[in-house]
This record gives sequence, structure tokens and C-alpha cells, in this order.
Amino acid sequence: MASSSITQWLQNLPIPWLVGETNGRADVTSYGTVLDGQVDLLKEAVKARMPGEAPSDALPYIGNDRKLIQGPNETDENFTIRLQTAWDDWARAGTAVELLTQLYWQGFTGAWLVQQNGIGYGIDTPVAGEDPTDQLQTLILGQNYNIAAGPKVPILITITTTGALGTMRFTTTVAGTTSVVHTTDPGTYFGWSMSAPVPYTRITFIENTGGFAAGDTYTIGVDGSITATGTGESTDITQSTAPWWTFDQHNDHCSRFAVVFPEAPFPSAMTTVATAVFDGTTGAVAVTWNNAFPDTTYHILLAPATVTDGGGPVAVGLDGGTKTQTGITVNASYPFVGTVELLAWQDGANPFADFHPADLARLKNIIRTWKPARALCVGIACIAQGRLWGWPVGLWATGSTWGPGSSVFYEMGE
Amino acid sequence: MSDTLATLLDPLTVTEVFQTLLGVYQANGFPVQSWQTGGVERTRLMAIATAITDLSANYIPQIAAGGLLDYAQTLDNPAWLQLLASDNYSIEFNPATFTVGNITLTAASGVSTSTYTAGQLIAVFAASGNRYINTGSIIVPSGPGTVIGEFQAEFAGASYADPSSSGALTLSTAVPGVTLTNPATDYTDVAHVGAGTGTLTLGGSPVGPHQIRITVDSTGAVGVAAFSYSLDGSPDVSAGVVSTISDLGGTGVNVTFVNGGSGTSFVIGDTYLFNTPGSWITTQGSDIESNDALADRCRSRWSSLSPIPTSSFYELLVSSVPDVGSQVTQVIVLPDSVVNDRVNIVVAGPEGALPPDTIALIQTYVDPRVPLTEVPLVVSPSELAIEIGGIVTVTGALVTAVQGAVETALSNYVLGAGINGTLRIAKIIELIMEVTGTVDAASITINSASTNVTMGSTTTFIIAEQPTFTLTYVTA
Repeated sequence: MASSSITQWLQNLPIPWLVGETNGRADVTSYGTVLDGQVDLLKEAVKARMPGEAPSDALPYIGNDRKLIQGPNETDENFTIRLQTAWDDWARAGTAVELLTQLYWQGFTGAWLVQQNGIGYGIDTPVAGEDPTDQLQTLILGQNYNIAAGPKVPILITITTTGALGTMRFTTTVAGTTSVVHTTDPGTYFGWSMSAPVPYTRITFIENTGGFAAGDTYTIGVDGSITATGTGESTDITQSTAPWWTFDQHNDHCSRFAVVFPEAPFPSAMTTVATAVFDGTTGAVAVTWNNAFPDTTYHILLAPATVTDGGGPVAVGLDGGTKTQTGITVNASYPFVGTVELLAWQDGANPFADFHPADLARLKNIIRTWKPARALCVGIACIAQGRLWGWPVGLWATGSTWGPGSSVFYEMGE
Repeated sequence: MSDTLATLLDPLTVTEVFQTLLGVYQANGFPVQSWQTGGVERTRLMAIATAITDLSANYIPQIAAGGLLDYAQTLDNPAWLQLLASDNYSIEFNPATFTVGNITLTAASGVSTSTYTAGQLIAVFAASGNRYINTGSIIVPSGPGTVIGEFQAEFAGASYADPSSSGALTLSTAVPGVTLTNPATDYTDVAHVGAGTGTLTLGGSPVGPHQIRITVDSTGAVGVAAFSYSLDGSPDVSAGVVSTISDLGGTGVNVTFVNGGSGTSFVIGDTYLFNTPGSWITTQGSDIESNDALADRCRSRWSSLSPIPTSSFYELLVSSVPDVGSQVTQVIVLPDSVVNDRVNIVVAGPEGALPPDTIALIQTYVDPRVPLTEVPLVVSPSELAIEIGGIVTVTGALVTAVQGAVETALSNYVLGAGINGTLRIAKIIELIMEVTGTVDAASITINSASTNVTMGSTTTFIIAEQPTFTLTYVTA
């Protein structure tokens, strides 16, 4: 019979002088035990490359081998299944469903891919190890572009600097208020979105042979009509008339797409929050942000305390001296039982749509890795409030209103 | 799972194993506390511990590391990674390749003709010490006369990258009256990708270094076929139906299209690649594929499972081209900003831009391996001359040593910036200050400006040339 261990093999040796007596047997048992320990380590070393057998600290390395990244809040068990089924994931590389799935595992939930041929893709809740294709949702986006709707009030565009796209500058005047001077970029997008009080109509400058002349004006009426004046009539401005989402001047291309986070619940990485839990024993509680900041120049909004022990009102404030990239301490006027909600955002960012650099880099990395090589991701749009021209799906002419809105757009930079 | 990967990778020491043995022996009833140092029992256990440690320290960490690309690529023995690549990813490592180039042999008046068989002549570049050996028979004519012979580097590797017209080029065993030169021609050979039989004749007086790609836009003979050209990787410019292109893009380059002897001369989609100036080197050698590069190829292998090419699929393809894959050490994959379904694959080697012949080989390899309607275009980045200036203050006796170390460090930094990289003033100062003997670095400039240089964009691809220096060294 084969021995199950070195120790057993040594003990069973038919050599009485070596293993037959008490001390001899204890001797071989001792160094046999240590040798068996080494054999166990050898086995573990071999298993370290196998997702189902490897220690947890090996999983990121197996993931790197398979070009899969464990999500910030993903369990080892879930990631292990994904590693074991990497063959299936990579067989779907380049598809909308797999890109959405990989975004999901990274915590970027609720994303939609909107494509320059009028199709949008979303996904429900993928399950590790299962084909997510059946969960793919599609939308036909083209119907959004009903030019007849037009903006709610007229928009006056005045060219301030003569020149081609890239050189030309312009202002907009809405309800008597004139904007700052805007630039144009011929290399990427010269579609341009208006902001409040006429939120999110998209205007595209089309460069014809005449160029744009300073002093020329273009008035976009509420019916979508465009009236031009001046010497630059050979150039034109149009609202998006193509029945597609249009991201740039190459609107005959179907290979452009964007990632849109259209509505709550947004990914955790998009909004930085914390909750200070007071248990009645202390008047100071340190909180940790769900997303670390790159520096300490960020802003914080503190909600009034929610007192749950029936006590009186509590004044709360921030201890600025404890502010770090990962958290801050909340001070209360006295110890109480309850909570204080905090919201934080980077300087200049939208408090409700604020990807920090590390998360944005992670998001872009996933997009670059899983998109088709020929597809150009123009960027990531987060609709924090209201609506974007083209989202939600529906005809603007059928009762839609242009309420206040706020969105953030991160260019992909490729 | 009792052990962590970190534990497995950390080799046990003899002392640790010895202590473990003592513990086990004590647990089994032996009076280890009374065993004397130097005594039989402790010495015997130390011998066992040494033998076990040999197993533990040498094999367990390597077995654990050898199964993971991240760690296998750091092992001293590259065989682990090469085995992993071969057995798990079906990828063979790229071996080192040889530099090949043309050297002109000039016979002075009075020299009689001689024939030299392959391997008989060894050309030596004095500046580098690199030696090149003739690959075929060379007949040196009676003087005065010249002949061009093909020479191959003595050893494989990327370091065989001697400049054209280098001077100080001699035969290791001199042949009286025969001298060597390695001039650069105005142009490299024209590399053709596609089925057309037409050719290009190049002329004019080219100004400055350029990379040019001619694309056939419509099929036909000269007078019917339409062409476009790309200068230094920029978007194509249509030349229309032409028989010649004069002063292409203002570079002084003239191109004449010549019909083939049979078949269709110019076929839509065919490309013709050439650079100016040419180089005496026709094939740039490369080092053996680095562990990092091999590991990256293994990771990119996953993308080949999908019928939809992703960026890493193209990275895998261009670095797997037989014979020249190892020359590709940098890759950027970007969708074209103008042409639908075109994917720009920007490749470069350790010495910068790759020769047109290499680009053509890569293009030829990639083309049949992508889905219908996808248009991959393998391009070289343009090369940007970089001059670093400034004042470096040095401890008195170390000027020469500091200068050498500084220029080596900065050259590595500039060449390592890669395609569309950024060269930073702060980094240059840091690298200078890291050199022992440096006291200060002031007024540092890149190309005469004290600002960072970002090369390229989403539509242009640029890589830095070997830098030149106008650094002034002063003693403290």
C-alpha cells in the first residue's frame, strides 16, 4: 500500500533498528513531519496559480494574468468565479454586454452605452460565471432628435472672432444674458451643449468654405429654425438633425460611443459621502469617505444631525484640522445618539457627479480594454439632474419640458 | 488555505527550518533543551535543515512564482516565463535578431580585383567597436572602383545600430587600397504592401527626415489610379489621379508612379512606404524579447478569444510577427479620427522608428488576421529631435564622470518616454541631481524652452530621437 505521507513511509520502513524502537520512530516522525510540511508547501505553490485553490492574495495576480481586475467591493468568491470563467468573458470582448459587465464589476453600475448609430445598451445585474447576454437591454435613441421641438426660448449665437473651427469664437445670448466667449475644437467635438436656463440643446457648427465671420449671428428659434445674418452665410449652424446621437463632425461614422450614467442610483465612485455615527459616548467622530480624494482641497456639505435618542437639537461642525484625503472628524456640541450625513466633492466639480482621478482612470481603463479597437469612446456623461438632449428617450415635442438640469462630461482623451 | 502567496514566495532560512525541527522534535519527546551547540543531535538537525532549506528556498518560491506572469517575469531564470508562455498561452518568445546593412567598399587606383567569400570580411566601427561580417560573396573591382556589400552584425541585438556615414569604419584585417564607408541614401527602399505590380521611383532633393506612406485610392494603371499620401503619420492627403507627385508636402520629395510589367499596376488599398533619408541599415537587429514584453503578449493573448479585435489583440499581433516581432517594443492603438473603421497601430522599437521594410512586414502580417471591413494601419511615429540645455554645477574633479552619467541618464529618459510621451523639465533636473558629484542644475531647457514637451496627440504620433546636449558644466 502506498504511503500517504513521508512520515508514514518512514514509519513503515522494514528497518527495525531505524524505526522499530521508540526513539527511532519518534526521530523519523519528527523530520518526516517537517518534510511533509515542505511537501504541503510545494502543493500550495502549484495551487497558487489556480483561482479555485489559490490563497486570496494570489487572486490579483491571477487576475492580472487574465486581464481581469477585482472590483473595489467585489468579494474574493465572486472574483474567483470570474477568473475561472475568463475564457467566456474574453470571448465576448468588444461587445456592449461585456463592456457593461466589466463596468458593473468595477462598481460602475447603471451605465448605458450610447452609440452614434442610434442604439443604446444597458444591462441589469450580471452574475459571475453566467453569460450576461440575455440581460442586455437596448434602446433606439434616434427618436430623440426631433428637431421640430427646438429650445424653449430662442438662442442667439454671435461670432466674436473670425476664423475656421478651432480659431472661431462665439457667445450665446439667452433671455437677455450673454455668455462668456466659447472656443471651438475642430479636432474633436464642436457639438456644444447649452446650459441653463435653456438646458442641453446640442448645437453643431458646420464649417463650409466661407468660414465664420465676426459679427455674424445665428438665431435658433423655438421651432428649431435657424436664421443667419452677416457675411458668413456660407457657413451654417445646425441643431442635431441627424436621427442619431452625434458626437463629432463625423456623424456618418457608427464607431463613436459614449458611456452615460443617466439617473440614480449612481455608482458609488461618482458621489463621495460618509456617515458619522454618534453613539452617545463622544462628541467627535471620524469618518472615512467612500472615495479617497487626491488632495485636501475638496469641499464638504454637512447635513443637520439626525438625533435618534430623543435628545434635543445638536449642533455639528467639521474639525478642519483633521481633514485628510480619506476623511475628517465631525464634532458635535455634545455626545448624542444619531447620525450626520456628509457629502464631499472636489473643487470645481459637481457634488453629485464627481469621479475622482483614480476612479476615473479605472473607468477609462476598463473602457479601453474592453471596447472594440476601432470604436472611439468620446467620453463619459453623468446626468446628475434633469435631462440631456437625447436622454431620456422620448420625443421632445410630446410634452417634455426643459427643466433645470446638470450634467458632467469627461472626455475620454483618445 | 493556510499559506499566503507572500509566504510561499518568501524562502525559508536554514535557521527557521532548524527552529521548526527543534520544535517538532521537542513535541515528540526529545530533550532538545539539553542538546548542546556543536553536539551530535544539533549538528545532525542542522544538516537536515540545510537540506530542507535547499528545497524550500530554491523550489517552492519558484514553483509559486513560475505559475504567475507577474512573478515569473521577475525570476532570474527566464525559462520559467518562457515555459509558461509556451505551455499556457501558446506563445513562443521572440529571439534576438541581427542587424543587416550595406557597406560600400572602395578600391583605390592600382588595386586588382579580388573576391571575398561570405564571412571573410569583418567591418569594424571604431566609435562603437561593433563588428559586421559580409553575408555573401563580394567582388571588389579593380581600382578605382566601388562595390556595395551586405554585412550582418557579429552578434544579435539592438545595440548594433551604428549611424550612417559614421567615419572610422575599417576592416579588421586591412586590405591594402580598400576603404569602407556606410553612406545613407536619400531614401530607404520602398516597402510595398499589397498585390499591385506598380512601383515608385523616388527623386528630388528631400529636406529633413520624413516618413511617407503612399496609398492607392482607386485601382488602375498610371493615369487611372488615384493616390493619397501621409507625411510623418499625419492624415492622408489626396493627390488624385496623378502620375507624379512633386515636392510632396513641401519636403522636396518627388514620386513617380511606374506601371508594372504585367497584371494590375496599382490596386486600391495597397500602400508604399519609404523614409528619407535612408540608412545604411536595412534590417535593425533586436534584443531577445524581454520578460516584460513576453508577459504582456501572454496577457494580450486573451483578446484573441473574441471575434471582435480589441486594442490588446492588435498589440498581440504586431509583437508576434515572425522575425520582426521583437523589434516592436512600443505600441499605441487608436481608432482613426477621420476614417471610419480604421485603426491606427503606432509601433516603434527601442531605437525609435522602425524601418519601412519592418512596418510593411507587420502590416502584411496583420491585414489577413482582422475582420472584414476593419482597416488596421500600421504606422511609425514621427521622430522629434530633442536638445537638452542648461547649466550643471559639478564638484571639481568629477566633471568628466558626471557628464557621462548625466548624458546616459537623460538619453535613457528621453528614449524611454515612448510614443506621444511627455518630457518634463522637473524629471530632467531630478535625473541630473541624482548623479553623484552634481551640485546644481539650472536653466534647464528642452529644445531651447524651459517648458515640458508633450509629443503627439490623438491624431499625430511622435517619438523622441536620441537627444543631443548643450549642457554647460561648471565647477562648484
